[in-house]
Amino acid sequence: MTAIFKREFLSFFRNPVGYVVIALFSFISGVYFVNMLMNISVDISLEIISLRSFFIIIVPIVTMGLFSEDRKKGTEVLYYTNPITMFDVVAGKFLAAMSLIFVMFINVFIHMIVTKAFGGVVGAGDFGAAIVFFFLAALFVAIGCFASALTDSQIISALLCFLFILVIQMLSTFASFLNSSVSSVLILMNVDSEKANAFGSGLADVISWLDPFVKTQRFRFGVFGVAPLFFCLSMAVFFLYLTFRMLEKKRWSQR
Amino acid sequence: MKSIKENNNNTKNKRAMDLKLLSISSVIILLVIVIAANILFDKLLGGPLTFDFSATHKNSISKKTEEFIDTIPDGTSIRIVGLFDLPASLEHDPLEYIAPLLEAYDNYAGDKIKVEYINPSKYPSIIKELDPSGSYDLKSGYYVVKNGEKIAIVDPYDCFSYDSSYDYAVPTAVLAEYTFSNTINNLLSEKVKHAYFVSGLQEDPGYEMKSILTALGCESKSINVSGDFTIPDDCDILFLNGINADIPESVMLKLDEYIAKGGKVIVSVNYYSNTSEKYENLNKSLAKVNLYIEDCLIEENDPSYVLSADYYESYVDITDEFKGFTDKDQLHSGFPRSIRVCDAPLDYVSTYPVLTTSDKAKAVNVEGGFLQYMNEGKYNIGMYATYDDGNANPEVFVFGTNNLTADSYISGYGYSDQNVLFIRGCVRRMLSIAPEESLDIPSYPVDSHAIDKDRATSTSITVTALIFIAIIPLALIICATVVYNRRKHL
Amino acid sequence: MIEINNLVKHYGTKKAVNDISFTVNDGEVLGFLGPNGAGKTTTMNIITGYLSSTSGTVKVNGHDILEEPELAKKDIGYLPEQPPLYNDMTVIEFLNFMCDLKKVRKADRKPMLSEIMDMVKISSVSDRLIGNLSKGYKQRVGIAQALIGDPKILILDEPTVGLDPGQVIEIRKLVKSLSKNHSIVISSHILSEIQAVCDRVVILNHGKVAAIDTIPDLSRRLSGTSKFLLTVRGDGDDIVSKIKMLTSIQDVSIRRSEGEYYEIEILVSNSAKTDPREAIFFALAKAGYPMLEFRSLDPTLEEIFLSITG
Repeated sequence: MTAIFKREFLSFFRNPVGYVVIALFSFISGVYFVNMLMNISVDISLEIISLRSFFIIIVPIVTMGLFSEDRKKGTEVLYYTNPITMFDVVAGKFLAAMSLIFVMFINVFIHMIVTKAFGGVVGAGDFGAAIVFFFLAALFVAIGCFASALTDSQIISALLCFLFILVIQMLSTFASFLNSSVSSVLILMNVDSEKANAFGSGLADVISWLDPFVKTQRFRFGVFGVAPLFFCLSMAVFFLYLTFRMLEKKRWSQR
Repeated sequence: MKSIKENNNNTKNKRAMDLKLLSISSVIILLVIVIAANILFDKLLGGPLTFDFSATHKNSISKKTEEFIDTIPDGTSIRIVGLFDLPASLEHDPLEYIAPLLEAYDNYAGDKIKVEYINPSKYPSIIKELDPSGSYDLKSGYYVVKNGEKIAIVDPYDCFSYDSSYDYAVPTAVLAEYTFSNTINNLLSEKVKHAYFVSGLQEDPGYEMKSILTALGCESKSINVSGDFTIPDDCDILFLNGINADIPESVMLKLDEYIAKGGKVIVSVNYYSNTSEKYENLNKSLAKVNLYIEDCLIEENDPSYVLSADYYESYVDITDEFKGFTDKDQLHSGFPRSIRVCDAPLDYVSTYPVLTTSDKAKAVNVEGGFLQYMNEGKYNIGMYATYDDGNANPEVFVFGTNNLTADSYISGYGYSDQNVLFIRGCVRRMLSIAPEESLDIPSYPVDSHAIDKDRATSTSITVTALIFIAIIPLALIICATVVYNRRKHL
Repeated sequence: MIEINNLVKHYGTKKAVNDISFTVNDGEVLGFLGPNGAGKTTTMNIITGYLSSTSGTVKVNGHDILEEPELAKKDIGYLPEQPPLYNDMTVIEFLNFMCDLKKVRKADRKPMLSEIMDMVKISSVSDRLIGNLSKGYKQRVGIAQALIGDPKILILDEPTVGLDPGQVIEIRKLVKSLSKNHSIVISSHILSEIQAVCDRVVILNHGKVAAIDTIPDLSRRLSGTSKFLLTVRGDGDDIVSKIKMLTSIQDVSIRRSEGEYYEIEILVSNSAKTDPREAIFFALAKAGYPMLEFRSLDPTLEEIFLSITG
């Protein structure tokens, strides 16, 4: 695992990709931070939450090549024919991507220090937002890994990852849309309006139960819950397992 | 023959099939486990494994509230219903200070307190469910706290104190926990409220008023002025509802005593049914709270206020202090007397106009069918009085019209009429729990993210901006080009 | 030692490998011979654990590749047809990464790497980017990669394909020197290459083992129809009849003629106890036809298949 981790992590810095992604992140976070400074009110947790909306761009860039490149260049043979397990491979690559995201996030830690230096407040809510950031990143990177294992084209894998994250970011919107549209359809079908609304919102509840953003929103207010983190982590594990299975499939697939 | 061949083929493919099966089934099993574990985690451990690390503990209930919840008897079930959809994101929403806190109530209290959010525009039946008698003006946007039959309303905006030295109200402190804990405490208090209607004064029967009081959790009884008149100790509110005769001297003394102890009194009279009564004894009592019922009829001369042709059915304005009781700014009055501050007022009493006429009203005195016009101006149709010092806290509403309390009006206009809503507001205000019974829960300041203005000079900000927006990203880009070029030629 | 029993691999309805069994002994160089699509690469992929077989077992030094993959893979160094190289790494970075993968102890690394790099002659390019290396160097880095961790068994899939002749000879030399300490399985579709380095040959055709034999045995079997090519000046028909008269000659034909020069192909029966070449020489000398060229024809791969499968 360390072997894979080391290679993948360093490879971000052997190519311009790693630097460019970090530069992008630094710039965006810097703009948010400076903007708050100018308003004489710095809420780091808000900055972190705004930065989360860039997962949809950053995560695909980071994960797109993880598995698809190996498949395309034929280097995946190394993983299958050396005395390591596929678990090591998946875990190593996942951790490498996570570490890159951590490196990016150092920017925000610096912002926290600067905020302190300016006499601002860095409280539990800010650390809560940071924790959530990493757990959400873990979930999305796991999804990115899976997308990358599905195909041997970096572009397609990046697109798939983008779509996955888009769907997750839209879950709440989708849920409320579904809620109103389903209930109005049911009302048109002469179902009692309260029952129709109950059905619609029940459906919406099920969908928004899956929304990691909603689950973790209390962290920003300083309420730390284990359950939301467990949700992100277990979903990440699930997607990593799917990735693992996709790689294993290559062995026994008869196509 | 064919089947043997197929069978053979199948056994040869067994390993691949097995692996496929293992692969798919393990994925499905893992998914099921993940979802089941999350549901379990959510339901069982979601509460206990949630910790409030915020500096102000704004998301958790204080020790005081916990102790209070512990005293709530088992089997009590209090519903806190937010009459709106809880927004998915609480950012920049005052609910940020309320919703997580209420969740903490729910988590701590177990079955005793249940918090839910139901939007009445989607589920209109919730209003009926919470308030079957329609006694409250339930609207979306409010929280409703319900215990058994009793309910109380909390407006989220009441959960803050405001600095009004600006043009707009700036929330400064959060009172959410104070508000909710006390609301629950009030609802729970075993003490049944008692309203007493003074009878024997040719008064309005007050059937409608009594049913309104029942809905507010208040039992109504009558006490007759004849004989041995005493105001019981458990009297929370005393009604002199549409009386047409003055009170006897014995009653006057008891009334003085009652007011001095901090009694709550609602008096309503008008000019229509008894034009000659001067209420001398009653006015002597009311003088203890600086009020005086005039012996005159108010004639409204502003056409925009007048309701019917005879000038005596008109709109009256609700004064600013009492506007919160209804949506509207005006009520109906009919054949009103004017209420004024008495001569030689006491200095420890504060009086407030409640209902006022336009500037063009005139007071008319009927003596033997003779109309005598008095000075034109603004007259008070209702007034409120209380003591300035906090000890005894009498509250007296005196209305010069019966349109707020009389059966004839209420049965004609219904419980949703503005006048009814208004009188409900008055009763609710008077029936609120006395201060010594409330839970003492401190407020805390609204989160501030302000930075030190002295340190955030334009120079320091410019330097920071330069570093974070220009230098760091540029340095990284330069790194990228250097690394790329160096490695390319290796 | 590798034991392969009843290996089958399906691709859809096609059987890429169909019931192959053979054993690779310790210290031997085994050639894998067959035309493209015969199942050489698939078999090697199964042996190395890259693919799983549809049925059948592979045991590497007693460890089943499916049941104890880590132990089995430890003993194998694999060079696939397409060397698995990261173009964005330098040679030394890549080999260090391979050391990590194969869990080579830190202390052993430096001497091992310098030894391997010397052996495959890539020390001079150790700091260059793999993507910038020539095909021959890349192949060598591929071999170096397979050698890391000192595996007892090397599996080389077409190691010389696409290389220029000089590089081919280098690689062959390298394989020869490696064979002293390793069991090697090497695949090729070029007979001469296999002949040059292998002790034993497995010939695959359409996913099946067509023959397993040592090189001498194989050539003996092939020499049942050994062929000579002769260039003679003179009268073609007379030459043919003269040679035909000799014993143990099966067939004689004129392949090409150009004026007085004839290229004659001679098919010799295997039953002959003596070498017919002397008799041919003397017969033509006696007839006064000068012999300009006389050589035995290597059997082509096609001919081997024809002879073995046909």
